[in-house]
Amino acid sequence: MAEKITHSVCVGGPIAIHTEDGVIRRVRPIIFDNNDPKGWVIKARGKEFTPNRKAQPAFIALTEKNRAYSYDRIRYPMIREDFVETPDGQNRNAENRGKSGYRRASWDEVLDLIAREIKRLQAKYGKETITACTGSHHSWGLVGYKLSAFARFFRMLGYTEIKDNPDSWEGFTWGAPHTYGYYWRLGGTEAFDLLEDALQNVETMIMWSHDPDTTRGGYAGNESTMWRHWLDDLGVQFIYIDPYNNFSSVKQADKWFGPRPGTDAALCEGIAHVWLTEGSYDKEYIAKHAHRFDEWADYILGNGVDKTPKTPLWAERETGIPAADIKALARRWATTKTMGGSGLRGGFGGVCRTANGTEFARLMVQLFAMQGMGKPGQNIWVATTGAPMDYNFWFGGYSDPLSQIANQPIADVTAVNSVTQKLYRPNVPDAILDGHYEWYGEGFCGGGIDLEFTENIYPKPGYNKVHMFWRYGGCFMGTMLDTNKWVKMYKSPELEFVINQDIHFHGEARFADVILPACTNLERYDIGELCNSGNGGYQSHSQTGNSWQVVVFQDKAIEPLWDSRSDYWIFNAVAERLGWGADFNEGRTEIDWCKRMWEKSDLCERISWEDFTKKGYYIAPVPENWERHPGFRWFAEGYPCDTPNHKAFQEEGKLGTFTGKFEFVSESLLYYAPNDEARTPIASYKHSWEGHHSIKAKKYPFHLITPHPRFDYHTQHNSSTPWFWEIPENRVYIKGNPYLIARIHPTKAAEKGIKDGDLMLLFNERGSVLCVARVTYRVEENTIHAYGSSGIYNPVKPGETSMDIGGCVNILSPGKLMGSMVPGMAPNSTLLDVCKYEGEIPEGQYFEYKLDKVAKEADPDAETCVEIIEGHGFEKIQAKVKLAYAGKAAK
Amino acid sequence: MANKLMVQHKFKLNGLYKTPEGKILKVVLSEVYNLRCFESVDGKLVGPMIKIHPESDLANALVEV
Amino acid sequence: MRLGIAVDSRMCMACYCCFTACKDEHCGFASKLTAAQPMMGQKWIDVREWERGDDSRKIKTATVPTLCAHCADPACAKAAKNGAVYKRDDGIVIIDPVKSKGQRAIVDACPIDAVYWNEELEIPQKCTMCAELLDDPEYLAYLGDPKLKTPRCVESCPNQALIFGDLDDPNSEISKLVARERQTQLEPLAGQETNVKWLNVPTVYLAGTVYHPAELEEVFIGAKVRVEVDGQTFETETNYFGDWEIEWLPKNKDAKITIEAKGYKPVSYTAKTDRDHYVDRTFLSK
Repeated sequence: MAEKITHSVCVGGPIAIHTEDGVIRRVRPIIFDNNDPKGWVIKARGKEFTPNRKAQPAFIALTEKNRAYSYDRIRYPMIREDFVETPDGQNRNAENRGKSGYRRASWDEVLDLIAREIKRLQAKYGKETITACTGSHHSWGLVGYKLSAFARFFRMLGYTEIKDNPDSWEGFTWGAPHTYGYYWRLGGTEAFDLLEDALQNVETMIMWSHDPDTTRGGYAGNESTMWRHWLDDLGVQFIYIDPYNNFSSVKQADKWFGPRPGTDAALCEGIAHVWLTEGSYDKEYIAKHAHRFDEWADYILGNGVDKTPKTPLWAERETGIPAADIKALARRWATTKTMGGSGLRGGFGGVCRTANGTEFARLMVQLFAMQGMGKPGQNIWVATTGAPMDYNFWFGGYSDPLSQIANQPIADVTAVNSVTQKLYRPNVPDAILDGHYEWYGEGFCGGGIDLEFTENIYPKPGYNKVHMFWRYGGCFMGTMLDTNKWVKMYKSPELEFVINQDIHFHGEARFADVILPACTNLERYDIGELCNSGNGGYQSHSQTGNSWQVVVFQDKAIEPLWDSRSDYWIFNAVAERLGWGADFNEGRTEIDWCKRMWEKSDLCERISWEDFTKKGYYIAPVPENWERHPGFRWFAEGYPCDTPNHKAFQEEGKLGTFTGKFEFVSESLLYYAPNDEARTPIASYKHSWEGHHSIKAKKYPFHLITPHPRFDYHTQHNSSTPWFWEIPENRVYIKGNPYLIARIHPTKAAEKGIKDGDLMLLFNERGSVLCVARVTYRVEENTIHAYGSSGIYNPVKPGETSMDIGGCVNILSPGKLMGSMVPGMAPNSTLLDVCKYEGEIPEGQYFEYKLDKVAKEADPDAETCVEIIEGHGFEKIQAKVKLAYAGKAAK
Repeated sequence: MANKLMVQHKFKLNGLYKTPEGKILKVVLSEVYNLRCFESVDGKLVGPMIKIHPESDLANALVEV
Repeated sequence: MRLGIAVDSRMCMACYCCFTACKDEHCGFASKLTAAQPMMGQKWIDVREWERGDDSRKIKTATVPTLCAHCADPACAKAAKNGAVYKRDDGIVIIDPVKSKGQRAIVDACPIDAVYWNEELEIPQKCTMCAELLDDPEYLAYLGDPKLKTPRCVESCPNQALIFGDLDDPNSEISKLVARERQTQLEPLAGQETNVKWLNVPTVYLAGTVYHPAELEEVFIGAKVRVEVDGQTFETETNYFGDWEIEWLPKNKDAKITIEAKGYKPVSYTAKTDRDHYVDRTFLSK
């Protein structure tokens, strides 16, 4: 039995893959051997800290075998049963999308159909008629992922680009730059070398809307969990603020505050009031670095237009947190060295995704400024970034233009999109259904603060509307807003042709006319670095969220299963059908593209291509006396910026605001948007447009918070890994369907007659979702907590806007953006009601029969979904693949 | 530890510079340690990434084209 | 040599890496020592988690990865017929997948419910401490150092909550950890020697918050709190939030709590330590 060991890296971290006879046997974390470099050592308070000698992926990474052999794999190209290729694009039974089943097709059939449709639509409406959109992070790697193969194909084709919204940290993007710049980091701060600073100096950690053990520093897996244990062991006090006593908090918090959802900005103002009245802030720092501080202070103290002092008692009335506790919190913060914050890089807890998210983010920055941000032990830093790293080792991340196959220098010729019309992701259904949409902003506005105010209109004057949608990876039913709108959109004949290219038969794939089976990362070649989102990108040097800097050769562990193919293969095949295959591939294979990444980066100086691909990974050592560039220290101490991600004006010691200072009255907002009702020049707590002061609260009294999931990554792992359905805090498997846990406070549960483990219906005017109740003191009384990004979408009437039993709570979230000029989404400003559910529940999941039918058509002995979930389907698949492998070897 | 280099003021990102040998370099990154470039030949970026210390003689000899 | 795993409950963040790695190794794959674990229904390492507290003012969880304890004198072995359960020289307890057929008593005998019944094969199944991998000289040979080889759950733990090694070697990491940390044998295994060592599994806490008279809207820092339980006295002071908390109380006893501050009337409460309890928000008066 030949055991082969290859490596890969995914959103959960790096892994070693054992294969035997062509099938995956196991997936393990990479354990470093004695030839790998030493880890960094941080000396602090008489102790030495060094990381575990292994990569520390999250549990989701250890499911990659299951994701490959998963019951919901799309095994074959499929065409909707009642799809008719009419010459005019009409009468294609679009209204049956989501309802109809599929038939198996050959690759030739679907590729020819796609090529014909592209040519037909482009001839009729122009290039802008095609639009396409990726999910985030359903795979990893610089060749096969969205900003590479996808971008190269669609830019060469010409298409109406769908701009992403910064959905994980909205308030920080749209708010914080108006207070302290950092628009090039989308509102997040710089955390360079702050782990050492914290270990040496910090006394209090304010973990505000932050659940690091759940959001895992973005893509850093469990690389930072030990850091928080170290801080805890040093006696650092952890204060968690979140309407849900989250999983990090409940194990590690010294104190938990659960404010009423959406009132965090009021809590910020209450804290500021204590500091201003007691004089307990860094007056010297503020005098030097703050702009129009006194006007803001007047507002907090009750001398502003609203004549309301923001006293702790005022804040108590909004937040539900006793005034005495608010004062104690403010004093602890002011009298000890405090780090903390919320929002970016692992702080995706949700406050910044509420109606008031921009104001919270701005006030958060202002509070840290008031305590001398950048001085030792005083910073925005939440223990998920800032490890030592060799900044002088350059390997590209996925958002680096320099490491995308769409661009030079990786490609010989850069692919450029010839269409300038755009759509905005949260509102794609509005644009399609209404035929008109207008909005501000350019998606990720990292290129300049002015980009936030770009005026966009769809259709763009002189352009046609889109009539073809190519979805690639992931499922927006679980991540976007008011997602029943997506159901309505897919059923619209406005979309003449819908393609879905994915690995798994996710909720959105079931609306497509043509489904293309992509393979997993383990079935193709790629190259990538752990948690590197781009050194020149928006979260520059995000690898400092790791204990180790690991570049991985993502070797092909097994051949693509069934008829699946790599995303690159699929795009290349369509390009060939359209006559520009050679321009697309430039004569390179996937592994050639991987080698380009090695050749055009510092990796080629460190390790030969042969050694790298043989070993499978390279760890960039941190020099023993690495150069320190603590984030924000330059500003606090008044020297030109020396951190690796600096901008020209920072070299003069300034921030990226108009004045170069912390703007307590924002000059950029006064200039660009003086009448913006959501983001006022003075950041202030405002009643949510969907909150406890709303009229609607009389009918829907509960506030849903739906943070990034603990038991998933976006929509990628939960649906494919039935083992996770056995985790009591995640789901409960009843009659073949995994019901999501939703949490409710015991007092309210008693009022509603709901007991722990009961089926509980969450509902409002937008829809209803059936969950299982977890009755717990861990939620604030007015809050229902259910994790967002459900990968499972199971409407009881497929293709209709009906009750969902998959736990897709984003169906309930408002479609409204944060403000008329603030294009962020606010899923945590959702009001709803709950009741005990006593109706019927169905057997199984509604889509399974569709996959089973196609699988049986292809192979009467095929394993059904239920057999793979509960029975021996998994073993049968492996046995068949092993047999085929042996046959091939014999030949 | 203050950075006295003012790298981004000296070199334009994505700008083309000529070396004394007559090579054309495209600046693709400027960071604390290095100016990072590729040699541009007929519009293609060829060869490996070239690192130039911003205070080096070579950096001082670069001429914008 | 006595191979064991130390489970440090304090360090466990319930990240489910051990759970997933164990399933990855055993579900659908048989080995020399055991039949395949069914795809669903068994948790050879089960992260048992319970909520601690009865008030949103103070709530925590206990997280206790629970696997076969590999007992010195296993109850399951006693319940087994014809030697279906045996203990290896290295201390690992194995259920023979052939001899154990039909012996449901082996499942029932386990005091901590760590043995599972396989309906289809009619056999009891449980954790093997990955002995089949430890035995295999080829497995992970590529790492070049046999010490880097550990059971799958231990290997995948990022929190140092699971530590593997030789309990007979006083210099092993596991022995040092067990000597240093609070040993908290699981209650159903009380008094028994096991090769899985549970550390820092909490008992019961009492907690509360002390305030100045309500109209002042101030927490009271430095109030003296005394808890008397079962003849023992525990003392603490309220912290910067006015909070006090006493952990590691003996369970199922009557407790008397007294809160005193100079110049204020003392306040006292009674409680039972049958569960974690937030006593009160105490407002002192003169």
